[in-house]
Amino acid sequence: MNKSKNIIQVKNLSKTYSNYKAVNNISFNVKKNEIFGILGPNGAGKTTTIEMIEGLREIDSGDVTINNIDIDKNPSKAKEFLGIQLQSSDYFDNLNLTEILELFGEFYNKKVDSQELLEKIQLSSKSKSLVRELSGGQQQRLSITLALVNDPKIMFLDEPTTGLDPQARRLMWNFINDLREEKRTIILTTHYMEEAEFLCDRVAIMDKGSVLTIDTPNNLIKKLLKKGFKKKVKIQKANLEDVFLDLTGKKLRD
Amino acid sequence: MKKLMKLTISVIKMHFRDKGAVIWTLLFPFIIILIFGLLDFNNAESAKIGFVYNEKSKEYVTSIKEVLSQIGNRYKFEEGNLDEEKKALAEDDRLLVMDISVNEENKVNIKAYLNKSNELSAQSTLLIIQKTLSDFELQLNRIEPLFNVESEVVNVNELRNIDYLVPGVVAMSLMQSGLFGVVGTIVTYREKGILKRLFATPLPKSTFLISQILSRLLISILQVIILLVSSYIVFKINIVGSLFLVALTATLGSITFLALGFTVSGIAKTTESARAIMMPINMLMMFTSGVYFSRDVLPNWLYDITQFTPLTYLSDGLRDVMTKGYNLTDITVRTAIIGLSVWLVVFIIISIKTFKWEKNA
Repeated sequence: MNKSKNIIQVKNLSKTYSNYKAVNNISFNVKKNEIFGILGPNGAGKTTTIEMIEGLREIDSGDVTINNIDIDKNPSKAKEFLGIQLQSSDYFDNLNLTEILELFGEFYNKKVDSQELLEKIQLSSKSKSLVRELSGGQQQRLSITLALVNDPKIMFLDEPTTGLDPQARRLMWNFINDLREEKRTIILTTHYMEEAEFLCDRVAIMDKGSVLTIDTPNNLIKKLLKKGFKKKVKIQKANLEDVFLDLTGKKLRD
Repeated sequence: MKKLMKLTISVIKMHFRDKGAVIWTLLFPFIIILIFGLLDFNNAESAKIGFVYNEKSKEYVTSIKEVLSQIGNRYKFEEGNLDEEKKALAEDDRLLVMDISVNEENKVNIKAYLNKSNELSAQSTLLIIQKTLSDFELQLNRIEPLFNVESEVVNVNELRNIDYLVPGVVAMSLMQSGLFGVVGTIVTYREKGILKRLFATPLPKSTFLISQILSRLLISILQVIILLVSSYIVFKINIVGSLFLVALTATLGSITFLALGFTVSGIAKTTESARAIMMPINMLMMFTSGVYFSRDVLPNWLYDITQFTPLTYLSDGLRDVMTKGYNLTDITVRTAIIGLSVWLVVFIIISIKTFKWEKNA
């Protein structure tokens, strides 16, 4: 593997909270322009891991190099080209979407075309709304839009589709795919396996603070089948979500 | 620098869109000034004098009333029969009851009933009445008085309630906007993850802090100006001292209470605990620091303690400058400035020690 293609290198990363090891000596690389998924049950250490990579959480031990910058030593420089969407993220109460986007742009010394950004994620009709007037799905989409104000090379999306209805989730998937087309590198966490299968080039599966395996979704499935795994239910040509979308349409609701 | 400006403007914008904040920092203080300004406390202390008389003694009562009215509007006059008036006196609703009757021989009999709970005042009122009657007598008998006493009323710098109140309310509103503004922002932003999101951008923490302080300070200055100007328009309050010193004291006070806000934000982990800390601080200081009424009415031990609260320093300092025209050479103003500065240093030290950016750090 050509090392220069690795835009993020994580080596022996650990984080301990008062009495338990949230992240236990994990290592992995993320390649340029891939969507890298971090999967795992609740409490596996996904969020702690990516927050350490983002420079938002102190690293206990280990190294994170991101685009050749040591995040621990120079977090503010790295933040210039990172686009970060946090899992639960609320915004200022009394600013409208345009104002928030412009203010965030200011933090990067960038003039933001808020209308264009909002159009991309189908929120242009809400440009003068306050955050509290948005639905949950709209807030998630605003979060992603805000992560884009600095036209980042690398994006971190922490559970971007949690709580979204199937229509909004499809929109988000297409949107994330577009981000890859724009030559960005994306690190994504999710609970939804079909989402990882659909979006991710490679995934790391974590549990109890450790990385259990890293590979492409296809390879992981092949490996499992090789072990003689057989699904008990006969695979149907459609599932309930297909029925749902067939009946309710793919058009975004909100 | 541009970041700082833009962020500061945004904070101010958010403040004025937050109706609750505007009500607390602007409307509430002004309503307090209005209510207390319109109440006439001197009127509450007015003294009622009950007269019991008949047709023949009516002329005496009229002239007594006339003389008493000239002294000011302190007296109110009631009349009735003796039983009614004595009952009112027993209920502490009269200062004095005068029973004036004239008998067949045209001799005037006067019996005065004095309120024991306010005996001094009743006695002096009675003296005035006696003097009036003896003047009456002298005139009737055409006797020149032997002594000629002249009196002159001298103007003093009379402190109206409103003059006392305005500096106190200004101080209180500075405390509240500093305390509520900072705590509301920092603790809520921390709890909701807004701080974390902000620092996922290259925005320096120092820029965020300075913008908070700067915007709150600007809001406070505006608040002081609005309160003073509106009090001037409505009540013609008179600021005797230097406006520069008023501004200096107000600014120092505002910064001190901003620092208190950061202290509370550091100690409190959640919005609920912040409120639990903030409310008693606000209430206790509001009522014991001479905002609405002089601390002289407090019991001695409380008087001794409360002279050291930051709100006492601020309201006393502002009041001494605004109503007495004191300046930095006066010990009370210096005490206020030094007291506030000491609190400021204390709050800054605690803030640095306790402040946390993260919810669960």
